[in-house]
Amino acid sequence: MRRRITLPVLTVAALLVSMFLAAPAQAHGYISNPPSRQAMCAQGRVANCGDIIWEPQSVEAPKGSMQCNGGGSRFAVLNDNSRNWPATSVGQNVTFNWVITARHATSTWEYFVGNTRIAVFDDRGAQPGSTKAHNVNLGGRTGRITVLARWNVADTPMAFYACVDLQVGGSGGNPDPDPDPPTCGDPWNAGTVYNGGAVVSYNGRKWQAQWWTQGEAPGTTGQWGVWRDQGAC
Amino acid sequence: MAWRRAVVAVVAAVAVLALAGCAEGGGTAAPAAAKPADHNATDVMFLQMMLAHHEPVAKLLDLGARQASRPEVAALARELAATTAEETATITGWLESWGEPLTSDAHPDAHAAHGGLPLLDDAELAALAARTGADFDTAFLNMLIGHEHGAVELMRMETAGGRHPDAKALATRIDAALRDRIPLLLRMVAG
Repeated sequence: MRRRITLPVLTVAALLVSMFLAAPAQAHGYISNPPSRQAMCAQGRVANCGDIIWEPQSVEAPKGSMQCNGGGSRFAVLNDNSRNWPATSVGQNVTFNWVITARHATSTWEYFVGNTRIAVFDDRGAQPGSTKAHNVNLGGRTGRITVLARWNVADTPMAFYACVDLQVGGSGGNPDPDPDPPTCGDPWNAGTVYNGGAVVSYNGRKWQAQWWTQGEAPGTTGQWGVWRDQGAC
Repeated sequence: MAWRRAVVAVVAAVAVLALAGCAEGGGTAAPAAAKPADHNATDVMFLQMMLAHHEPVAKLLDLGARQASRPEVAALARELAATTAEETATITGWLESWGEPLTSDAHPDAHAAHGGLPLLDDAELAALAARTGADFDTAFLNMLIGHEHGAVELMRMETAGGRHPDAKALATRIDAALRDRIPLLLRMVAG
């Protein structure tokens, strides 16, 4: 009898250990569009970010911080403004889209530029859906800005933090992700960084990048790859 | 937060004990089949959670394949749907050959640590189905990414605590695929 009990107990112990080890990664949410700093790291656009690339959803820290990592001990890279975070081009109205991995009861979602809170959405303890989108007006700000977003959980002292770097143009909403390019485009270059919508020529055909890419030759990235074939040119 | 994790852990522990009890005591009912005894409770929990995980994802991917406005998003959804269906069949076969149930009552309680609701339920899928165009694509990709982050944790649980070589190999393979796919999805959703 004793022998039969030992195995399950050991198994439970192992499982509990693995669960607790996994616990920090259970969290919880971040902004993917326009990409937050953790999303830039996780998608590989910014290199050498450390652990954040495996858990961009885990920037959890006590409420009230104005730092991109929430002032916690982890993910300090997110506070490092010298990292040349790519800034997404936007207009005055921006829709911030969240990836959510746990639907925590929510008090508020807050958005800051500098020390000014430019938007707040009060969910009054409701649980979000499996994704979330907020439309925020940037209040006439132009040029390069960093927006700090805070997701304040209702039933814990914690919040989730995300900083989004933006290049704010004139009017209009988010940039058209799929503009119609007029020309055949310059020849593709392996070292060039192409953003979504960029057009190149390669092997006698026109190709359009569907998202950020570097070093992936058109025609080699599979049927749902980054380069969309636009026909001969 | 901590107490919630503790509750989940206790629930899981009870579940594991129950499962382990099942596995150990299975011989009374089915005398013949020499069971491949080299699986443990983590393997079983992993496979059951994979099935529970795949069920709503299959619906999500089906929706994405039909309704995505960008062709590469639809193509991705179709390809992942095929992979998901294959994995579901494989996992179901393993659990049945091990004489283990395909579901466990304990698992919904795991959502206590996730705010009390599963990430993808029918209401969420219905809300997604009401969207169109670029708005649909963004929401679809974000829902998929959120789910994939959860899958990473599941793979780590199995690679750390599982025993059956096939189940561990599956977890390792999916984990590697997720490491490639999550950045791809993030680039897609960033536009």
